[in-house]
Amino acid sequence: MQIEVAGITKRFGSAVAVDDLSFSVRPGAVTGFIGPNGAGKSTTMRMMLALDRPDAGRATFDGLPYRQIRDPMRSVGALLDAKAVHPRRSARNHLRMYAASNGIPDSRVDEVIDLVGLADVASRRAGGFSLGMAQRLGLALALLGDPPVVILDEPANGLDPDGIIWIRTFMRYLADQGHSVFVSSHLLSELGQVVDDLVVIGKGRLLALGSLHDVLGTGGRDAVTVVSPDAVRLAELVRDRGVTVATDDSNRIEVAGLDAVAVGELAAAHGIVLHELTPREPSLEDAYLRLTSDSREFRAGGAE
Amino acid sequence: MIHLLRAEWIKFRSVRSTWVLTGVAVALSLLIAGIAASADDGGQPAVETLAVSSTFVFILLLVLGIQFIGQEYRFGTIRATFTAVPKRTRVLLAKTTFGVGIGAVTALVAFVGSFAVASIVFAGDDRSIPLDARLAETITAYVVVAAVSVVLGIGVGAITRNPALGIAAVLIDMFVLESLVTVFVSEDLGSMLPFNASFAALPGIGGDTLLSPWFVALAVYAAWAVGLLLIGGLIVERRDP
Repeated sequence: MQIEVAGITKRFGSAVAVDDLSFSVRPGAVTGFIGPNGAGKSTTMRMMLALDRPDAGRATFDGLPYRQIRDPMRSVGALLDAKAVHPRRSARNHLRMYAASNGIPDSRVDEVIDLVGLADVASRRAGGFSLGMAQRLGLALALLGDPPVVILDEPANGLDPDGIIWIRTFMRYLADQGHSVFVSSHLLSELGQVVDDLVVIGKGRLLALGSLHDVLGTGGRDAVTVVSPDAVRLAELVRDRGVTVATDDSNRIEVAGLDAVAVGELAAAHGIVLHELTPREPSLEDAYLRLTSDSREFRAGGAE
Repeated sequence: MIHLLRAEWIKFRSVRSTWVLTGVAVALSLLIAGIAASADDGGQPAVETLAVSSTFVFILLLVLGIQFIGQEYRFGTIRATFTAVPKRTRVLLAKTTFGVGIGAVTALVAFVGSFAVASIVFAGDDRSIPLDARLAETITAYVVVAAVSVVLGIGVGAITRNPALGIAAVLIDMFVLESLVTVFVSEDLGSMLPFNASFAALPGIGGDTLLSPWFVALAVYAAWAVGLLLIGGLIVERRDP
């Protein structure tokens, strides 16, 4: 099942949360939807699912708007807010009530409970679940109707490293089975190499779109680690060229935007001794940070 | 619709608060019927002891109706509900249908139980509640007003989308606003307000008002419930959950 999002826009008062956003999600692939917190990812997903009313544009699933899909849990599974449970209701009953509304048999409820590994706690009150268990319950809900499309909003949020690996493996498995997996995260590293395609947004606007490698190509750039007894002076020189520099202690600096040759020559020209000069491959995270650097709502520390 | 009704039934039976509300409604009605029957000196028709509990039962069912929709907004389950069933009016219709059923069943159990308790008490004085048209009228009114109360609660819950706010609004209206209107504005206008109308909807209990006989008051009460439900439906449809 193909998802098309065309020119979707949402305003809250005078603020534009999502601004004329268009992209598509193809079957058999994991499409990562990334952007800083507050970039409009959840709002976009809610509009796709007909929860929020867009001010313009539309989202369709094989040509149909969400509202016109019959028994939509059988076509589109969604995990929006894992903590949205009645605290006194058991996990099994939580799933059963949604299953019933789409005519999904109770036997399928037990199947998905096993699938996400909640069999031991399915009779317990969902209010007592840890965030990791709640995420698994949310995933079970998304999978109830065995839908061809799965939309997951920050499924790795609050998971420990084991849980994150588990959910990555799970998404890969779903995509390999032919599902369309659309998954958001504010940390690209959380999704890692499991994504095939990327949709990157910031401040509600599309920043980059395409396969993981395409997006890396546009967003990645040279980075160099430098160790020098005179690192502070070198940092000043590099910064004068309009390049970002990060330091963690007085001797080590991370230069993004110049290659090792340029940094080495700059140091030599000013008689600065270097103890280490290491070029780094542009990482996923670098690409992402660069793409979204102008649209981050809260900047921690800045580029010092 | 049968799927949605089944979903509502699971929601109802899988939490404790719904059983507490309906259980307390039934228990309270039995207790009040027993007390009313003991205190009854035969100066009024014996059947009236059965309706004394009505106000309490109806308030509890009203709260139940508010909870039906308010809890979903409070805990955020409404988003998954509307994702599963994007046509929101169908969800509201299922909740209303189910609510009418639960309200009627609860009231029927409460009434029949009250009848049994009162009959036992009366038996000591060699009295009984006659199985006549008056009893039939009373039980009909009692059950219908109960069902309408749940619907009114669902309407209020849909408008406020917040159970605490909904319950506060209902109690303030019931105990403050309607009395103020009746005393300071107009007795006739006051009698048309929802809760005053619901009191007058029980044969012989509400006394003589503009809305006598009882079924006129019941129709007015039902009109309030339907009106609030329609407004609530519009709001639920328009607002992003």
